[in-house]
Amino acid sequence: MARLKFLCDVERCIDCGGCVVACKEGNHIPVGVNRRRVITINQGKPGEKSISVACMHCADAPCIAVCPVKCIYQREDGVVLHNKETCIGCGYCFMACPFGAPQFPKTGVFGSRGAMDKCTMCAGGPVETFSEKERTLYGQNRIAEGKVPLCAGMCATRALLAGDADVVADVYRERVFKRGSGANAWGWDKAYPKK
Amino acid sequence: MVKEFPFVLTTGRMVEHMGGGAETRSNKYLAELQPEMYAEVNPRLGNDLGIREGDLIHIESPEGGRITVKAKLTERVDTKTIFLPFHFGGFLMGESLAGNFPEGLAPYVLGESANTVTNYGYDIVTQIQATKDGLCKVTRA
Repeated sequence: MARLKFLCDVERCIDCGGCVVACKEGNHIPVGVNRRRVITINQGKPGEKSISVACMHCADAPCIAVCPVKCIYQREDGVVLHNKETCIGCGYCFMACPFGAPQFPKTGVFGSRGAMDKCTMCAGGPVETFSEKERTLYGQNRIAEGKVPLCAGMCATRALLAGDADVVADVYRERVFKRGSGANAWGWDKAYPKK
Repeated sequence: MVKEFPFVLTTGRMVEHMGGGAETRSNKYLAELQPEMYAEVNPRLGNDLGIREGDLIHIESPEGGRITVKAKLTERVDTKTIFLPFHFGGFLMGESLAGNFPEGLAPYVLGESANTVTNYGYDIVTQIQATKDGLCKVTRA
């Protein structure tokens, strides 16, 4: 069975925020909830890098291990999903997640947390596929339609890759090989002609 | 004048907003990504002036304009430069003008306009005016 994975190529990501907006618009995510974010590290210094982060759909997902109501589960293709109707919004998964993926909408007068919301890799949820309920609770189910997630689909520089882990790894391997390090780095052929 | 207004003020663009921000500040997705007017200050300069990340600061121009914005400490600017994005509007010298918009039409994001503090100057060789920069003074609000 194929394993679905995300990969963000930091050499290509230009911090445009398109993935964030595509996800929010396509899945009707409310203000304040960000299934995907772009993080910039070493801002203003040499070696500044941006990376787009969402749920990584971990192999041994810590959120599944800590969930007290067992609402988070992993599909056979590796996508980590959760049942919003079972979720009690306790926030344990947010503490456990190394990527800060689980998001909680604020509801009620005392700012109590609503059911957790996170990246579904555009694979819907545990209700009937393509149903109205799935669309309102979890967003689009593009995996069932045979499409890549919205964020990866719109990425202008093709930095964000999503899909079958083997294919994603092949694409990335080829890029790294072409880009090279040292002797094959961009501009070296012009700047330092070979003797 | 340089002694009283020792920093170079420069204005520029952000990824999320466009022009004066008339369209993009009224777009909920882009407004959420960049919801506030700010001034980029080098951390070293911030330390000298006692400014922390997120503090309100006054930026004053020799022509008398003064804006109140939040400080963003970043090494994207050097220790003598202050950067302001010019996509904001709806505040003038610390006062909100939100009431002047027709009802329900105010953008999601309002902020001080950087053009309040850009000031006089021109290039002595080509005679081209400096519309986007100038000198400024920075103080804690």
